[in-house]
Amino acid sequence: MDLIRISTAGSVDDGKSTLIGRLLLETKALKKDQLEHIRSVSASRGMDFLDLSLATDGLISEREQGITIDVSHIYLNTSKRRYILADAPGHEEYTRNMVTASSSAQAMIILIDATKGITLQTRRHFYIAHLLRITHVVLCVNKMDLVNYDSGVFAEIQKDFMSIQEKMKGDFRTTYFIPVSALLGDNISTVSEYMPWYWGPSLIELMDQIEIIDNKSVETFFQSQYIQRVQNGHPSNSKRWILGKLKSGEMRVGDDVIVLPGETKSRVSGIHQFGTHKDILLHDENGSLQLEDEVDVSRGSIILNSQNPFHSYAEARTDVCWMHNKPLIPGALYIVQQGARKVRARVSAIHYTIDLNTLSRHDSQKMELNDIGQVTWTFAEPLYAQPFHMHKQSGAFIVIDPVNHNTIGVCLINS
Amino acid sequence: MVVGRKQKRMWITPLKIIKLRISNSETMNTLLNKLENEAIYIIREVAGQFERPALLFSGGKDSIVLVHLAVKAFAPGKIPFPLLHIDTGHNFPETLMFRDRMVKELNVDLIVRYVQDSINQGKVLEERGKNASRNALQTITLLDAIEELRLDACIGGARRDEEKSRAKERIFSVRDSFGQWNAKRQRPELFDIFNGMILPGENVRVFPISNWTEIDIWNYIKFEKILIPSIYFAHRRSVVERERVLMPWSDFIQIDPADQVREEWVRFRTIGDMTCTAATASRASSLDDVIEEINSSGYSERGTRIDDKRSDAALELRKNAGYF
Repeated sequence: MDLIRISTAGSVDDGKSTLIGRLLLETKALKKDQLEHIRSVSASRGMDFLDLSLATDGLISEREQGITIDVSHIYLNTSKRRYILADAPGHEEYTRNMVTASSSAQAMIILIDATKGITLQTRRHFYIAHLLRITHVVLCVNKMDLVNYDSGVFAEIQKDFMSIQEKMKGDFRTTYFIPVSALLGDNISTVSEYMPWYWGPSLIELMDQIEIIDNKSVETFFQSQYIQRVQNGHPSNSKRWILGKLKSGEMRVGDDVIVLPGETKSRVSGIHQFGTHKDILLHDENGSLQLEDEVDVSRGSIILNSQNPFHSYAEARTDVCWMHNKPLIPGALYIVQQGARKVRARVSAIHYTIDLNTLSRHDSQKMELNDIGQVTWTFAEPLYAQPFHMHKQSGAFIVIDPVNHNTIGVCLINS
Repeated sequence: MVVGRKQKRMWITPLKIIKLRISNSETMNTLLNKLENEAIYIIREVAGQFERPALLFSGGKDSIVLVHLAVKAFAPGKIPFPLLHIDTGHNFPETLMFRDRMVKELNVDLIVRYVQDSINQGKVLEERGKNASRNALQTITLLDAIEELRLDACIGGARRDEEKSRAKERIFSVRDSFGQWNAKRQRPELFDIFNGMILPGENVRVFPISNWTEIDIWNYIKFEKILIPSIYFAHRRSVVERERVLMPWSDFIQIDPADQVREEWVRFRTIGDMTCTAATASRASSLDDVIEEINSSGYSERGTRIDDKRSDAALELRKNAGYF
């Protein structure tokens, strides 16, 4: 069984909670006691149907207001796959939560209300998929029951959407369109008889079919998290192990490597994984390394194959999504964190912010909460990476407020 | 299996079962492998980012798996932080025996702080009445321990699939100096980048097995041959039926004249205090039986936790106040 991460997005009232509740119900993830709870609350509110949105509406303040306020994680199984759905609320702070939910997603489901068509939120969500290079985007046109399962409505929405995608130059996302009714369960696990004009798979069938290509870039990229000294009998006989994760590629004992910062050359003399010796470490695996020489390695150090495929960025142009009330201001001091490495940095210029209504670019002096745009950073020490579109594992970093230590933005290296 | 059930069962039976039923497949399946790697990465982030972390150990299966993952994360070296157990005084005796044996065998450091001390100091009031429990009181003892030991990070075994308010929890969850969780103040968490920077007085709760589900825990226990307390397997026990759940009979619960104490074959699906963990009727005596039972069970795991039944938002309210 494999593990797939999907983020789900939709505007307020598109019926996203209902869709997730429906997915839980149809994959039998809802247990008797949970279903009983939904049944009794639905009845007490005078509904003659199951309000499946109750399956995920968690917090007290959310239930008081009937909205969701934070990213929620939901777990589903089909016979083929385990799904982790990261569900982002679709109202205020949407961009911030959407980006958070989607950062590690391999696919995104965007909900569109058939009675409303494409909205600003739909564009926003798709733009985030575009920005984060999420390969698969599933557009669920929901509430088809309210438009009499009309194929014309569906076709119109599909056409509108294609025109947005065309505007995003170089977009290579695979998009899928499915007409559904989350409330009534049409095209969720089985193909609905009410929409004979729709030839495609149901949503769950599609989720199972999506081919997930792990971004297994060939570059050998290990980042150190923690340096451990293991004593072997006598204190003088201690060994230094570099604990960390191989974020891409493969690493073998005997490989020539280069350590950054410092550009020191060395060779892998030992690989340990969880107490046992190994000859090879694979993509996405944790391990402990030993190098032949006592080179300078600390938390955040990057170990690459000897060709050193990474750029050294003293400055970098990045896409930015700003996530805090306190605006991004050129010249202000920030801390940026790339994996386990922290560096001080300043923005030297804001190139533009994007108006998601029109996808047009605007000059701007600062970036506010939920703004997306492009800036140039100057780093106190160089950042070692490849552009995000080539190498997701190294090309992203977060921005931390040096005063209150909050995470206030995320950046994707462009050039 | 049947032999020596009363006394020896506590330690020997699970070991036997596991040895007899080792799965045939030599390699871990993709799902467990990914979950294990993710958890170990997070545990190492804690060691890398914090000065004085501790692992919150409750004696339940999730925290046992957590200890196992921590051992693996630093093997062959020692875990560079202690375990912290907040002892309510209402633990199952099996849990405490298991804890002490585990600590000895794995050579890990254990710190214990007692809810009874907080009660004696007048910091908390013992609950009265029929369903009295010390479950909520442990928050104060925990917050005191965090302050006393100056802990900057506490690793916990909470999983997002357990409960609605857990589903919204970050992996690095920052708590203010009062230990409080604020859903609206959570930091965005992106890719595999964890921001553990805090201000003095704040601390971070870290949940490495956030993305594991109940069945993953059991499959992992089976694959890794991890020892767990015997009460996770079926045994005869005196129970009191209350509001359609079977409460384990003990000195810690108040028995009313109307209550009928009877013997049943039961096991525990989760383990908390004896006052707030209900038993389920079961004859599952091996890991395979338990996995089979969970797969076919129509009920959720927290359905046996009395502490969550107090109100629909019981766990959320306790979390806001600094609970695990």
